[in-house]
Amino acid sequence: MNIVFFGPANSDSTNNHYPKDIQDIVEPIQDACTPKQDLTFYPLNILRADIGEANKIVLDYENNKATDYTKIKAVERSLNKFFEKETAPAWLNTAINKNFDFNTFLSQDKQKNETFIFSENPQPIAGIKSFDNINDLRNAVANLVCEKKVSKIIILYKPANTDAQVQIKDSVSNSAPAASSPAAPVPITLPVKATTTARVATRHPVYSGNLAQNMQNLVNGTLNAEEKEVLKESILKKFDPDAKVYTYNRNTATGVKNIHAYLESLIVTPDNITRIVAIDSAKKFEDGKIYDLYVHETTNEKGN
Amino acid sequence: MTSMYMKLLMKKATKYYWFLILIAGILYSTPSRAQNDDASQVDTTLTDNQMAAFSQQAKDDVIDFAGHVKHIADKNISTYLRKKYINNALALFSDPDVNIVEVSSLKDPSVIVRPSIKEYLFRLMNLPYTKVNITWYNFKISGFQKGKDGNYYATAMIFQKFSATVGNTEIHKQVNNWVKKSIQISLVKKQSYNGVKPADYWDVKLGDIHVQEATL
Repeated sequence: MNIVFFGPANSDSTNNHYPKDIQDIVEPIQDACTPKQDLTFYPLNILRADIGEANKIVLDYENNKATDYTKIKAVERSLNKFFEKETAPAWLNTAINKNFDFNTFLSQDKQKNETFIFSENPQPIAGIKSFDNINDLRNAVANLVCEKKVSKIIILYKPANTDAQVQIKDSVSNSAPAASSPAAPVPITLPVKATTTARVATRHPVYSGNLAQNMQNLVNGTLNAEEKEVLKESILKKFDPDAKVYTYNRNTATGVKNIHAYLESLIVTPDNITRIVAIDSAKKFEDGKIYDLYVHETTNEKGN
Repeated sequence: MTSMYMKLLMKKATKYYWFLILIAGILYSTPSRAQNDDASQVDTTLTDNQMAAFSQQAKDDVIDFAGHVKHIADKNISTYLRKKYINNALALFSDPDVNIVEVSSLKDPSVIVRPSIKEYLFRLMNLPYTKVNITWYNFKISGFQKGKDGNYYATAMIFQKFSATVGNTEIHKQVNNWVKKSIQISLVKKQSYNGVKPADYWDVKLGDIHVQEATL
């Protein structure tokens, strides 16, 4: 069984969705079948480029002297359809993992292959199943793998383009709003939960106009862990990478954490805990990046 | 021959004389300087207000760890994220390679194993169940008591509910167990250098986790 995975590479520091998703899909599937199926994954990296470049991905394999151009064209058409209506995202580029042996991939048995798309907002394409939920995609792939229905699976992975979606104001909630800042936070639109694998409404994390509100949205709420990760990345853009968060209690500095670890601790707050984050103050560099954040937290166990 | 050797020895001794005096001076002065530093340090006794603040921080850290445990075990979360959560959880402990977690057997609660916290969290991530749900609740923490070493120590108590589903979609088997656990907490005075001078601070860290009671 061969699985080809088209997606952005982890070497793009601004978008690290790829490693998590390849692991997210690959690792559970490895153990999903009884007996275990022998799987070979071919991650194809796509990095920062024009959309036109993406269309050449498969043709680039001509250098490998692939013999079955019909199948190559089929994959190419899938890619064309996948990307044609998209605005060129920053991460899109052609950078092919040369370890991928397309000849081997194509010269397997003659069974048909299956193509899936995983995207935040998948476009319906005839003959291609679209998913916006990683678990649904994983289950669909695992089902095919375990049942040995096909010999090859192609997964086209289009992650959320956080650059385009995330708009976060550079303000701290407990501070007086700057003259150029809005007096009130941007109204919050609750995300729409996708219930079908067909055309679905975009499920965006909730963004508001101030830092504290964004941080509070990481705690409990309606977002799942993956969506909170996207929100976390947007918040991090306002911080120096080495920024520290100091927690205060009764005017005593009680703890300090790196900003990454602190935001992740907000994300994993148990459901049975009420956690309210209040920002006392923030120190910024000249470029506006926060390097020290002072917060006060109130935590209570629900029901107590 | 002997006198020539003696002359050579004397010459060498003279050459290194000042160096030896310098070394002796350093060895003599170091203990007294260290004692002076100790004497100049801030008193290590916490006020009631500080104790209350750190008790709350300790409780928050236990809650933080509980959240990490729940997410690390959650099969719906990507492995990539769960590994990040493991690293964050380990940072809450004083020595994650040495600190142990007592884990009671699901089949026989009297059987207890003691992996290191690091080993425990990685096992938790790879539990052979299709669904895992771990919830900690009833967070209680004792007041900090000062130890002989000048640090402060407390114990947190929590209840843990563990439930898991095994098998595929056709066969479901639910396992549940309830465990009362205690968590050692230390409040240790540390020193950091803020670029100008050394600064003291207190650091809350979690320690060993023990099973107090376990039931199926």
